Amino acid sequence: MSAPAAVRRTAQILNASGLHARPATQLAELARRYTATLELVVVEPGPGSGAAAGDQASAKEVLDLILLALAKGSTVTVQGHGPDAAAGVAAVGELIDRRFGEV
Amino acid sequence: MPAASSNRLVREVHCVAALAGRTREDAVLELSQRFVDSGALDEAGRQVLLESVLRREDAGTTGIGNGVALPHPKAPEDVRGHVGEPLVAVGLSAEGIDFAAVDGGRVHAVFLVAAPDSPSYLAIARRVAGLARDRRWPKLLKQCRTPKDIRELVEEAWGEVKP
Repeated sequence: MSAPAAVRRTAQILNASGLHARPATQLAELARRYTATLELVVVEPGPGSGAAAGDQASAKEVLDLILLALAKGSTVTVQGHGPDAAAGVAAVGELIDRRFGEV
Repeated sequence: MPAASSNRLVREVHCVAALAGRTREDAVLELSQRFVDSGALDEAGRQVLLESVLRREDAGTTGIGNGVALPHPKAPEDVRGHVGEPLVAVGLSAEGIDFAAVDGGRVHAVFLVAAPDSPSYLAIARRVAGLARDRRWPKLLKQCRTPKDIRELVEEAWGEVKP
């Protein structure tokens, strides 16, 4: 039996303060609703970010997400493996697109 | 005040080895008082900080897990006129404080952050998250008995960080 292919989607952090504690918490709480493995992979860190291109974090772990210290303008790939990966990747991508409800 | 000490991101005068309060409001009040006592913040600045920090907590906890919380202003602009360089106060509580943390646990280390801009805040949050994720963290925390212990622990983990 072959493993199902990963689901991927690109998103850009657009809220002014970046992926700080509250967005990270929101993102992890959302990601934990899915059984799929969900990760953020940094494509291009925005100016002032802590992470480098290629760094990744589990979307379900608040501390891992905060460690990326992604500033506004950062581009990430949201990727998932597992039965509900498509729904999970879509939901996480949408939350990022919606700027976590911030400006 | 010796220059070497005021150049530090975490100063001993901003560290409390045993927080007196049991609520997050108490913790934030006590730590913000340290900023006033050291002259890093005036009373008006402290009021702005408190109001913004508590508004931020109402919007969602800053208890990020593993016994750590990093209360901070809702928007850096709120405190920009009062804070020149990033300030971090650290308070420990053996009994723990209820921050409604994301992992449901009590908070044993509170990092009160007052930074004038988002990049400073992101960088500090990154360092705090790094500490919280360290497997040795709970043990190291228990060994802290004085403000000096706290400052040394943080500096060892972060390097001698300048603001």
